[in-house]
This record gives sequence, C-alpha cells and structure tokens, in this order.
Amino acid sequence: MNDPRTPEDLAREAVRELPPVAPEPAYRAGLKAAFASGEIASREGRPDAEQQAEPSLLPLPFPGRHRLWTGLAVAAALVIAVVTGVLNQGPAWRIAGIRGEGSVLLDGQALSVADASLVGRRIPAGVRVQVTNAAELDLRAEGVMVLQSTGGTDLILPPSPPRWFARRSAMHVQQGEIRVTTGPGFKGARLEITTPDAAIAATGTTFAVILERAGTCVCVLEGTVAVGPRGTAPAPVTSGNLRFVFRDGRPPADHEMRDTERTKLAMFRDTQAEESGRPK
Amino acid sequence: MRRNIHPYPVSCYLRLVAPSEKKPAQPGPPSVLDLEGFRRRDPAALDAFFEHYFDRVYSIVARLLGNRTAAEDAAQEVFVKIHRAAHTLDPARDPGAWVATIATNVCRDVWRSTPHRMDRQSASIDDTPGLADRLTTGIADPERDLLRSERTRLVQEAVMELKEDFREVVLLRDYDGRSYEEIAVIAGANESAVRKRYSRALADLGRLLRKKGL
Repeated sequence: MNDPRTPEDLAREAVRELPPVAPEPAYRAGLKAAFASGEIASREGRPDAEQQAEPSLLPLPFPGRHRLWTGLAVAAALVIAVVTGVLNQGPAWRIAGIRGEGSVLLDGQALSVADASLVGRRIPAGVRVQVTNAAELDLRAEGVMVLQSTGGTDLILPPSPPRWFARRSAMHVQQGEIRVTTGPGFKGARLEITTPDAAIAATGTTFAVILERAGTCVCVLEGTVAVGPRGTAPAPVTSGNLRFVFRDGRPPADHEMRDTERTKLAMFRDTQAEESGRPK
Repeated sequence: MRRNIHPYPVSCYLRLVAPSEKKPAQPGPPSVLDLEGFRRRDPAALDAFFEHYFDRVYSIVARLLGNRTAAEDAAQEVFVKIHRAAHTLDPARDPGAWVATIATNVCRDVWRSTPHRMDRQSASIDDTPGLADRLTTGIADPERDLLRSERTRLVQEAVMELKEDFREVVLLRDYDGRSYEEIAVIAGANESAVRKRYSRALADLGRLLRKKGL
C-alpha cells in the first residue's frame, strides 16, 4: 500500500469527509417547538455529572475508581490531619495554685481564692484571666511551662505550645505582672507575649513581665528573652538583666535586674520545679 | 455554511466538493437572523435561530461525544443555555462562535461526567436505521454505502480514541470549519497553542487511521 498522503493529510481528509449527523426528526421538532415557545427555559437540561450518576451494581470503570480512590485518599488525609492536629495539641492548662486576697475571674466568673478544690481544675485556652488585689494564680501546662499571674493582671490565656510542630504560643497581657518558667517539655517551642508597649519572645527561660504606668519591664532570670517595642525587631536580654520598654516611645533602657525581682523569680522557679518533681 | 444545509445526499456532496478544495467555512451571515428579536426572545426570531444553528450544533456535538443519546441530551442542554442567555448576546457579533463555545463547554461537562465515561462504548452515532433502509430499498448503491459507512465508523472510532482536547480541535477545525482564531476563543487558549494542538492531534489521528487500515 503506497499511499503518498502523510498521516496528517489522511486525518484531515477523513474528518472533512465525515457526514453530518442528522437528529431524529421528532426530537428535533420537539426541541424546536420548546425553544421557540420558551418552554425549554423551564427544563433543567442535562443534569450535572454527580446528579446524573445513578447507583450501579456494575464495577466502576477506571475513572470512577480513580474518583473513589481519590475521595478515600482525601478522606484519609483529613482524618490523619484531624487526628494529628488533636494529638499535636499541648497539655491543658490546670490551676497549680491560687492564693492571697482578692479574686480571680475567668471570663468574668469569680473563683474563690480560699477554695483549695480548685487546684487541678482544667482551664481552657482562650479564657480571659483577671486577677485582682493581692491574689495570685498559678497555671501549669504539665511539663511545659508555668504561668504565674499576680494582682492586677489581665490577660488572655493562650493554648500551651503544641507537642511536635508549629510549636508557638502567643499571649497578650493587657496589664499586671506575670512570671513564666518553662519546663523540659518546652524545648524547641516559642512563647510570644505582647503587651500594649512591648513584644517579647522566649525559647526556654524564667522571666517576668511587669506592666507599669510608664511601660513594660521584662526581667530575665535564666536564658535569653528577646524584647523590644512593638513593631520593631526585639533584641536579646540575657540572664540577670531587664529591659524597660517605654510607653512614650523613648528607646528601651537596659539594667541589671533588681534583687527583689531576682528573689521572687528564683522562688517561683524553685517552687514550680519542686512541685513538678524536677531538680532545682 | 457547510454543515447546516445539505441540499444533496452526502455521497453527492462529497463528489461535488473534493477534500482538497474544501476550506473551513465561516458561519452563515447573521443578517438573516433577527438578533434583536432573539435577544427579546421573540418566538419567530428564536425559531429562525434554531433553524439556523441546530443541525450544525447537533452534528458537532454528536461527533464530539460519539453517542447519539448523549448528543441529544447535550444539544438540548446547549439550547437551554442559549435560551437562558439570549439577552446577553451581542447583536453586533456573529453568534456562531458564541453558540460553538456553549456547545463545546457542554461537551466538556459531559466528558467529565461519570455516566458518560461509563457509556463510552455505547452505540455509534453512525449506526442509523437509514442505512438499512437504503440498503434494502436500493435508492443508493448498497455496496458503496456499506463501504462508506464502515469507513465513517472507523474514522469516528479513531476520533473518539483521541484525547478530548485533540478531538475538540480537530473536529472544530476540519468538521465544523472553524478558524484558528475562533477555536482559540472557544478553547480559551491562544492561537499558537491551538495550531500546535491541532497539528499534534492530526498526527495522532493519522496514526490511528493507518492502524485501522485506512
């Protein structure tokens, strides 16, 4: 067979020679009448693929199977994502201590500082914690960190840092004074704290954040904490020092930490280490 | 206007116009249509519009889908969409490309649908009772008709073996007589991409036809 035509020529001619496909006259006439009268507009037309599909007992051909497997894979991925997300959550916050005089409000609900049965109670992340007068509240995320809020503190409790990935926890302190000490479970995580004046980032340490009328003071007992005015790159504050971030926009001031705060932080750290069974 | 008016039997038509002489034809002049009336959905204008475009739409849809039942559903869908969108038609422009775009989009929806994939192997659009009638009544040369029918069946079979975007471009260009420019609009691609796709589609189709002994 010596056909001089190229495959392209052959294809082109073959397609051009295809005869028109004539519709069934009755179908054509019916559709034409419906189109001209406007009745066709009320028809739904060809249903969408999914609507059109009817249950079949026959084995699905490859595309259907492909969709089935894709659907199963997506569902499995979702389940894995949800399970991983749940398992990745950090430990819950629990009340480790509540004392002093005054009141502690959780989302506006008052807790009695004299009620010893509150110790161990689980506190959900996201609640607003307000500590008044001379009360103190210690919250522990087991093995990860302890947060002490003293009188006058107003903060939103963040979730504790996740266990395996995205190990970041962000908290806003509106006013008051908090102390933070991290445990072995915090390793590799990052705690970010904002106040009206300062942005603070810690990666394993013991420190205090004290909000005063003139600004925010961050005192570091152990480790290194990055501190700076909000909206600027924070600079590290090393162990035994403090940085004061002024509210009026003056440059931050660095000093050696005062003895009173050093003592308070050391006691806080030792007490929490003792209660969690860790060596001081 | 090559496809929507067939004054002769197909065999005569093919004799009258040799493939090499045939050039992709442009759609008929829209001046014969009352497009303003069509936009207002005036029954007479709709009637004329249907007469002007339906056979061509049905034919291309049937060739694209390779299935008579699917073609009937799809053609109805096309005209449902046309009716609903009638008021959006720009009367200054040729509605042919607009109609072809709707038809092609409907076919793409059908290709994506599971039922169509399940029905791919169903009866050919060229398995028409008309052939049997002609064979038995002797109106045409039965042997010649049979050969032609078999050739048509094989070509359609090969067309259906093409990738869907290849099938689309080949049929729009060589069966429906669209220009590259029009196909680019219909396919949502640029003209040079359409030319390349068409060239590759032709090469693939040529190989398939050779395999089938044509």
